Amino acid sequence: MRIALLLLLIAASSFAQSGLDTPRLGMMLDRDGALRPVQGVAASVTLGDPVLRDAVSFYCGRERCLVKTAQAIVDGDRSAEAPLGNAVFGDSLVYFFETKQLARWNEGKIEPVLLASPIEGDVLSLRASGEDAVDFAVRRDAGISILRVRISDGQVELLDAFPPATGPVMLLRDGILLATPEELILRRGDGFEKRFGVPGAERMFALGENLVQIVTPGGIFALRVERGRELLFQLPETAQ
Amino acid sequence: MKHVLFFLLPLAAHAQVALFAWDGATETPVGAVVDLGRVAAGDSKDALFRVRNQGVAPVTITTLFANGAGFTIPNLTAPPFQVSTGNFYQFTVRFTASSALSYSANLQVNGISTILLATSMPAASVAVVAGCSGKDPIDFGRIARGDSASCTFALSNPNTQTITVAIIAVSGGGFAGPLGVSAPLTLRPGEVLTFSVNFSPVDATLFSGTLMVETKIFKLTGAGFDPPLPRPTLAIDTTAIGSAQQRTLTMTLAAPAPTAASGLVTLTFAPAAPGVADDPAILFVATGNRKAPFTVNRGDTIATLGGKTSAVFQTGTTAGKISFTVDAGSVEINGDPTTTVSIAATPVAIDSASAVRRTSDLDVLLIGFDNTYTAGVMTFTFFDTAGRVIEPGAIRADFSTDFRAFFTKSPAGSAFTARITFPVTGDASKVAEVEVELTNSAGSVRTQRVVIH
Repeated sequence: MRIALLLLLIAASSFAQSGLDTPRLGMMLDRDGALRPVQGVAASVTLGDPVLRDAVSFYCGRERCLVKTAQAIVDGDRSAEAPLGNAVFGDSLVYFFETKQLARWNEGKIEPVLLASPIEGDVLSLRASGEDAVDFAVRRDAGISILRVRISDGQVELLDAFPPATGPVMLLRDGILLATPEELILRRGDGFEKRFGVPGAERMFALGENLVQIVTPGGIFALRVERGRELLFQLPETAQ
Repeated sequence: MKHVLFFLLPLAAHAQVALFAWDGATETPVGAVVDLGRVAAGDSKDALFRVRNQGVAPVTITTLFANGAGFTIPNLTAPPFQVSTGNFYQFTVRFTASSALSYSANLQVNGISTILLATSMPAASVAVVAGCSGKDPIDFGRIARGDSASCTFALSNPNTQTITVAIIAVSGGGFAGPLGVSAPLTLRPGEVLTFSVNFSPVDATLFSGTLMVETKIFKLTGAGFDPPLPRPTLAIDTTAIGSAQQRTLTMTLAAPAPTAASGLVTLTFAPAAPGVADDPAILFVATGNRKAPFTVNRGDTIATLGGKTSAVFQTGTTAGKISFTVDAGSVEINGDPTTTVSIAATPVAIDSASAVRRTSDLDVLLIGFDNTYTAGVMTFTFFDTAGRVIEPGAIRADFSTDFRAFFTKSPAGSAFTARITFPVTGDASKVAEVEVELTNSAGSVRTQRVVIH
């Protein structure tokens, strides 16, 4: 009753507090290195003007977008000097390719995360696994390996291996997105697997919540990886 | 003194004029003899001359003629006439060869005298047999770019003696030959040989060339053109086209392309909703705009769009008509290839719905689009933790004004994020779920029950 009464009062006030806005799916990195907002709904998007023009990689999650430029990490109006070159993000974690260093982005600062031993192979993706572990997707001679590295003692656990995967990889909250020369493979921990005919994937970025940007020579794609709502669509190229 | 002057004046006039041969670019002083060379019997050859006044006073040309069989000065201005200081008078001496002999003439300009020589030689006769028309120039007609036309010529010897043809040459872009003969060659009296000249235009423009047989020069002409493309068919991968889709467009031709062509496929959009100007999300993804370049090679029936067999386009989030047209530049198209597809008005599409509980509010968040641009009426039904409708049941609200204002400045068609906040002063944790119904001019749609987190 009390609730009903409350709702009646709400009805009488005609929902004065409402807001309308343009949906923002996240950001995308165009072929010129410009980071642009992606607006609209899946499969019907427009690109906004660049918010940053010299990005080399980025990550957009639910709460923030982190951008790696040649020499810095940028988070909105905050930035911090960072090792040269490219980097890969996993939420607030960042791995610098050149220096093979792991760090955490914390309130505008880069805090080193010391690992007992360096990661062998090329780190392609990472994600936090609890408070004390980080999962790495690593390319080695035998293909892609998924490793769980405990920060406190450096213990390494092999979670999975994907010999056929030759392209970029993205570790998702609930699975992994792999690329072979011919297609993308979305796998979840429960055995779910879905394939998408996108050949030649070269790079992947977290475009937004549950969205991955895939860059290929033939187009720039977005894959919605939300369980049960998987959808692949193309992102507009920057108009010349 | 008067007599002296009488004799000096002609001398002075003679000294201040000079005779030059003119080749169109350079004046060459003429000596005692000018040889016009060998000229095929029945043909003629022109030589240009200039009488230049090099003095400081006007000169009167009182004498100008070429006196000798076969030599004429066509279009001659009859003397006397004046040539002003520093100026010149230009004229043509034409030698028309007849019998195979050597010829000479005296060219006289005031006091300047020059011997003209020319030799008429027995010549081959050249005639068009087939494939082209006309004499000056010989016309190969209009030929499609990439196609080729062949003109057959007959080369004969009408003379009573054997002749040698030292030169048969074709020049000029687009023309090639001679085919079937090779100079030098010998022709017996009455003998006839045929050869051909090909015309293959590489552009849609007018071409000029020459066929030279000894000293005879035949002008050649032909026009290249781009034949019209067979009517293209612009097809979409499905007939069930709706909003917020990415579809593929293909372009095929009713028949093999008679020539290579390229141009643009252009997309235009006419919104159905009154007051809506456009939807920027309707575009070709590969270009990020509404134009897709196409290319078709000669003989192809399938065009490539941006280098691929199809082009992906977005249908946006606005009801209306999307049209595709083809512009092949200078190449005409047989028929109108315009293809139009309709995006039907539909009820509001909800991409996602969520609800969150805050200290004193409930927020309902809806992301979707309204391709009619008439959304606004919403009905909310709340449920308690036992799944029962909370009284008084469905609560109706009208946000039409808000939506209309939002749509006027939206950069993404009708896509919207709507956050509706319900102030709560009681125990909001007992409100467990909510259903929302959205209504527009095309109907109503209802969300599933959304769990309030």
